[in-house]
Parts: sequence; structure tokens; C-alpha cells
Amino acid sequence: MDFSLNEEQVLLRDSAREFLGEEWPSAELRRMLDGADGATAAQSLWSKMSDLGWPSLLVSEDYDGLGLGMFDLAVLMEETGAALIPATLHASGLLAVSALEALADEDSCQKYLPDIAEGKLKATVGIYEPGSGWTPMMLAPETGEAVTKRYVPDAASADLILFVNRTGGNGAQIAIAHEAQVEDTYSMDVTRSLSQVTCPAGQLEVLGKGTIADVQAVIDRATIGLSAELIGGSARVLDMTVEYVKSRKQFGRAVGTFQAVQHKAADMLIGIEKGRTGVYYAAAVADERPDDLARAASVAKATANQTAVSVGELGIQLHGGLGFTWEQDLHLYLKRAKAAEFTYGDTKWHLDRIAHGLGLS
Amino acid sequence: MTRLQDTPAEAAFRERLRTWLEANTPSIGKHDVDALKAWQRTLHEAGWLGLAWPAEYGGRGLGFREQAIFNEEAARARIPPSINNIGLMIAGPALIAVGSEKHKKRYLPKILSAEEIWCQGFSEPNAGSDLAALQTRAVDDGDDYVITGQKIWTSNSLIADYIWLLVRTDPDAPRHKGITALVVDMKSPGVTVKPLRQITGEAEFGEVFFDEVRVPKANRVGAENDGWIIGMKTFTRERANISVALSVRLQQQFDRLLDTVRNRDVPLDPQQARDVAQAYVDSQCLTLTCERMADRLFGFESSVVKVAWAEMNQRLQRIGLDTLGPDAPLLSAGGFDQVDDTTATFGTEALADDDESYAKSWQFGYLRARANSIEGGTSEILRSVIAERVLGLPRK
Ligand SMILES: Cc1cc2nc3c(=O)[nH]c(=O)nc-3n(C[C@H](O)[C@H](O)[C@H](O)COP(=O)(O)OP(=O)(O)OC[C@H]3O[C@@H](n4cnc5c(N)ncnc54)[C@H](O)[C@@H]3O)c2cc1C
Repeated sequence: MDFSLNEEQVLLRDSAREFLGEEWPSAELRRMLDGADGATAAQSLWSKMSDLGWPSLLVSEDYDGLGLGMFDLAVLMEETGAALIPATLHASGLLAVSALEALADEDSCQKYLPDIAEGKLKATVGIYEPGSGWTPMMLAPETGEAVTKRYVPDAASADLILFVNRTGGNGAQIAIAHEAQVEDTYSMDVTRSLSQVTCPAGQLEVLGKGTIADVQAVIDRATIGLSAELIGGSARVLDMTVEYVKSRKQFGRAVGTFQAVQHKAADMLIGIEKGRTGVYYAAAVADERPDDLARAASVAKATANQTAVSVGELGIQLHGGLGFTWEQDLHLYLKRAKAAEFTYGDTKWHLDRIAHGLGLS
Repeated sequence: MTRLQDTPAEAAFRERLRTWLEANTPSIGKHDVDALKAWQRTLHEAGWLGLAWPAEYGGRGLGFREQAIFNEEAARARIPPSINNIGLMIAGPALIAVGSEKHKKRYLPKILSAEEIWCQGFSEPNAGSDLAALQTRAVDDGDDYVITGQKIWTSNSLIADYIWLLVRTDPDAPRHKGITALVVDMKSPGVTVKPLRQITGEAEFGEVFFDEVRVPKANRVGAENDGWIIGMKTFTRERANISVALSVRLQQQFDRLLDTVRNRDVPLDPQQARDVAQAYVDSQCLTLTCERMADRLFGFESSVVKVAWAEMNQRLQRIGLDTLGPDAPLLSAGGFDQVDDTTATFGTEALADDDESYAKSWQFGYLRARANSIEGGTSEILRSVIAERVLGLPRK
């Protein structure tokens, strides 16, 4: 077992942290959220990230990508999660890339992946449907009628909207949803849009086929990336909190000297270390032992959910009234955590999947 | 680069070890002192102990990875509990860090071979979490110290040959500056040990009384009045070694949990199944966290894994007992009240695996786990260590 970062990964992490510190400070994030030119801020960040090659990280070299693995991406996504960047990298560079590589035929991969890798094409994927829960076997078989997908990330700014459908039994397909109608469903996480997307009858262009197991594997990879973002965000909340309780004085001393405060901060760290382990482990499993992917992804997500929500809550608590203000970024992390908790399976869903895998249900 | 797989050298080491354990692991009751000593000796002679200890003191001079592989395979093979766990996990590593050449040569090999069993005499009736309040007095008398006082909660004291002891050499100095570390022969005249019965009915710890016990100054470790730092170094090693060894035991406990629930007549309800899954997540994450943080564990970050381990093990044991339903409180023959309280059992890893009844072993596990957040530093103290020493929060 080796979870140490190699030289390239250390470089990736450090340069990402520096880049995002300059390009996506809180003020820029706020410009996206509050300003009339929000879309401009997000697009300008996307172009710069594309110049750094981030959307190409997972894309295989056959399609002009860097051909790196989930472990590398997890290292990067801890930083992007810490900076609360919008969903484009997750939707295009992780979800869409994984879905195309898993399900699309060779010609379609050749046609779309190089542009996605370059950042010229922003893609996203709709999977879940009303009533499907988080279980792809529960998707309605595709019949040529109109299809509606829910919780589609970043659909409003995507250039290419892909649908993953069940075709009946264990069969699955990936298709372009032409003429898609995108309706913002307003996520609690204001830094990331979630949409309901409807593709009218006869407008699906099928790019390839696979199985429901392939679909779950795509989701599991996205789950690991999301978990990495959550742990990165949690680590940032802890940093902010440590800085604050060191300097905030009450009763003539720093509040960080109070034991009730110290012990909450210690719990934040314990959760983060545990969660980071879950993420690195699952990412390594995705790269090296794909047969165990389902259980490992569930370990990562169950832990990341628990850590991110509790760290988000504690961060606000330890900032006192200030933590409750819109001005502070803390609520953005808690909202991200809470919305992400219900993306790709909540804690219960993942524990149930582990229990099922262990033969307990 | 592969992260999950052993390197070829590691794989070969694991394979040799596994084959050896399969052929040699005995079944020994946890109260059978002689047999447990003989087993440790066998392990040592076969080259499986002190893997990360320097070769000149009987160790193998290998690394953390080999030790981790040993822990995994030992748990898998369910080897008997380690009788000299205090020597192997606490006193030995502390001596390696701070002992003189002479002491290392003299004591370490016999810790490994279990010829000499060790205990750790830090806590006193009035000095638990506040260790610097310790009062056991060492008076300078020529070539000797003369020691008078009392230690308490001393694990393995009933069978120990040596005690790794903190005493007060300078009562007038500030509290942290008048403490000295000594190695004391438990057979010295004036040493008396009394067992203390625990909530499990057993007596793995005891009280140690010192009545004008003469200890040669040559037995001092480090300089006079340098004992506080030595004590702190002992603690970080204790916490690291305990967490690493016990995280593997947590996996073993998890397997036992699976065994228990698969043998139930009634299926688990969904919440119980989820609890078991949560225990799986915990045991996986903890073992792997120990590996991930290996190079930081001899510092204050050992407290992170110690607190996490204590809580996860407590939760797991509670789940194990809870899954038994109405039978959970029933004692089989030979309940806790019938355990002979003059018999020592060994250390934090004693599992009661060998008990026939699930109920009794989970009751034992549940009760024994109460100590996890007390022994080796309470979780309250360790959270403060994490806050102040790892996160850098200010002290009062
Ligand atoms: C099974 C077992 C084996 C042991 N083996 C050994 C051994 O081999 N050698 C040895 O020397 N000792 C041993 N101990 C003793 C152990 O180290 C002490 O019990 C421990 O350090 C706590 O001290 P105490 O029992 O005096 O509790 P106290 O220190 O009196 O603590 C009582 C309660 O107050 C809390 N508390 C105390 N101070 C603070 C503070 N500053 N802030 C917040 N809360 C605080 C504690 O967390 C605890 O909840 C063993 C203990 C157990 C249970």
C-alpha cells in the first residue's frame, strides 16, 4: 500500500493551489455568484484551466489526452474543491470523459474526446431520472419517446449534453441529446447548477452501447472525484477555522485556547484524515483494481459525506455569528457538502450497497 | 507505479511469512503465560519480531512496510496475543529512541525473545492525565536511587520482570523538570504488586508499590531530570504502535462481526446492516490511514489515529453486541464474575476470540473497549494534543 504523492503529483497539487489562489479567490467566486457577468467569470476560469490541460487529464492518449489516472485527478480535485470552482471540470473532464470512454464507440470517441480534452467542448452527462433514485437499474428503458434527466451538472453552459440511458434489461447506451430543453432546478449549492434536461422524442443520437454495470462504474469514478472535492473543501474549512480561532479573542484570550473549541477542531482533522484515506484508496482501486471499484467508491463517498457535512457545520459554529453571515465563504462549503451528499448516492445508499456486497441484505 | 500491490520483495516476504504462520501458529489460551512466552520466542527465533528494530539489538533492520505486513498476516492467521506487548510496543521502541548503547544491548534482545517481560510505570493514583504530578520519589544515595511510592493501572505488572518507570528526582524543580526515567528490576527487594480487577473481571493491570527500593544509577535512562521528554517520546511511540497494531485487529474484529451476523437466525434489519457496513468503512479507513500517515506517526499525529481507533473499536464492539438481540446480555457458563482475578491477561489486544459463545466474546469486547479511550492517554487529552500540537492552536 503506498499513498504517497509522487513528484508530478506534488507539483500538480502545488501549482493548482497557487493557480486557483490567484485566479479563483473568493472575490472572483463572488463575481460569478452575484455579478451580472457571472458567466464571464466562469468562462474565463475555464479557459485558463484548459490551458493548463486539466480537462485532458483523464482522457487517454489515443484521444490527445494526458492519459493520467483517478489518483492524479483526485489530487487535483482536492484543490479544486478547496477553491469551490464551478462544476465544468467535474462534468466535462471527469463524468463525460468517463462515460464516453466506457460506452461510446471508437468513432465517437475520436470525434468528441480530443475537443473535450482541449476544453473547446464542454460536455455533461444526464443519468438519473425522476423516480430512478441513485440506482441505474431503476432507469426507465429508452423507447424513442422524450426522455427527462434530473440533477444534470452544468447543463446550462455545456456545449454537448450526453444522456446515459437504460435500453432494457442490463443494457445501456450513451447518446447525444439534441434540442435539449434545459431547466435550472436551483441547487442549494449556488456554486454549481443542477438542471432538469428533456430531450424531445426522436432527438437522441446514439454513440455507443454497454451495460448498466458500465454505467455504475462511470458513476463510481465521478463519485470518487466528488469525494476528493469534498475532502479538499473540508481541509480548507479547517484551515480557515484554525486561523480564525487563533486570532479571535474573548474573555481576554484567543478562543482557540478553549478546550470545547479545540476538541471540535481536532474532530475536524480526524474526519479529514479518514476521508482523505478513503479517497486515495478508492482512486487507487479505480486505477489498479477496477473489480473492487463499487465498494471502494462507497467507502470514499460514505466517509466524505460524513466528514464534509460535519466539518462544514463545525466551521460555522467555531466562527460564531460571523460564520452565519453571507459574507463569509463558510456557508458555501456547507451548501456544497450538503448538495454533494445527495449526488451519486447519499450515505445510506452507499452503506446499503456495501452491506449488500457483504451479503448482509 | 502500483499503490495497492506489494512490491515483489514485499510479496515474497508476505508469502514466506504466511507459509510459516500456517505451519506454526499454535492455539494458546490467553491466560497461559508459559505457552505464550514460548510462542513469542518461537516467533522471534524465526525472525518475525522486531522487524523495524536495528539488527544489532536483535531486530531485523527492515521498515514500516514489513511491520505492517506482519501485522496483517498475524491478524489473518489469528496468532495468539503478544505477551510482551508493553516491551515490544512501548518500552522497547522508547529504549531504541533514547536508551544508551549499553541498555539497548542488554535489554532489547530479551524483550524480543520474551525472556524478560516489561511493564510501564507512569500513572499514579494522583497523576493520570496530569502525569507531571507524579510523586514516586527517587532519593540520591551514592551509586543508587532509593525509590518510594506507588504506581497504578500498570498493565502486565503481575508477570513483569522489568518496569519502565518515571520517578521524581528533584521535588523542588518545576514539575516537568524534576522527573527521571529508570529501568527497574521487578524482583528488587521492596517491590510489591497487587492485581486490580477490571470491569471484565480480569486483572491485566495492577498496582505496584515501592518501599525503599534500591536501584543502581546505571539503570537511569537519559540524564537525571530529563524524564519528561523521555516520557513524551514513549507516549508518541505507544500511541503509534498501538494504533497500527490494533487497526489490523479492527479488521479481524470486523471479520468476527461478519461471522456473528451470518450465524444469526434472524436477518439483520436495514439499520443493523448499515451499522455493519459503517464498521467496514471504519476499519478499512483506519488501517489505511495508519499506512498513509506512517512516516508522521512517531510525532504528535499519532494522537489522530489513536483517538480514531478508540472510537471505531468502541463502535464496532457495540454493534457486535447489539446484533445479538435478545441474547446479548446472556452469560454463558463461566461468566465474568467467575474469572479468576489473580490471573493476568495480556494487553489491549486480548480478544476473547477463543470463547465459545458469541455473546460472551462480544460482551467482553464491548466492556474491554471502554478502556480504549482511557489507556495510552484519554481521548480528551489527545484531542487537546491534536489541537495544540498538530493544528497549532494556542495554549492557555
Ligand atoms: C486498561 C488500561 C491499561 C493501562 N495501562 C497502563 C500502564 O501500563 N501504565 C501506566 O502508566 N498507565 C496505564 N494506564 C493508565 C492510563 O494511562 C490512565 O488511566 C490515563 O492516563 C488517565 O488517567 P486517570 O485514570 O488518572 O484519569 P484522570 O486523568 O483522572 O481523568 C478522569 C477524566 O477527566 C478527564 N480529564 C483529565 N484531565 C483533563 C483535561 N486537562 N482536559 C479534559 N479532560 C480531562 C479525562 O479525560 C477523564 O475523562 C492504563 C489504563 C487502562 C484503562
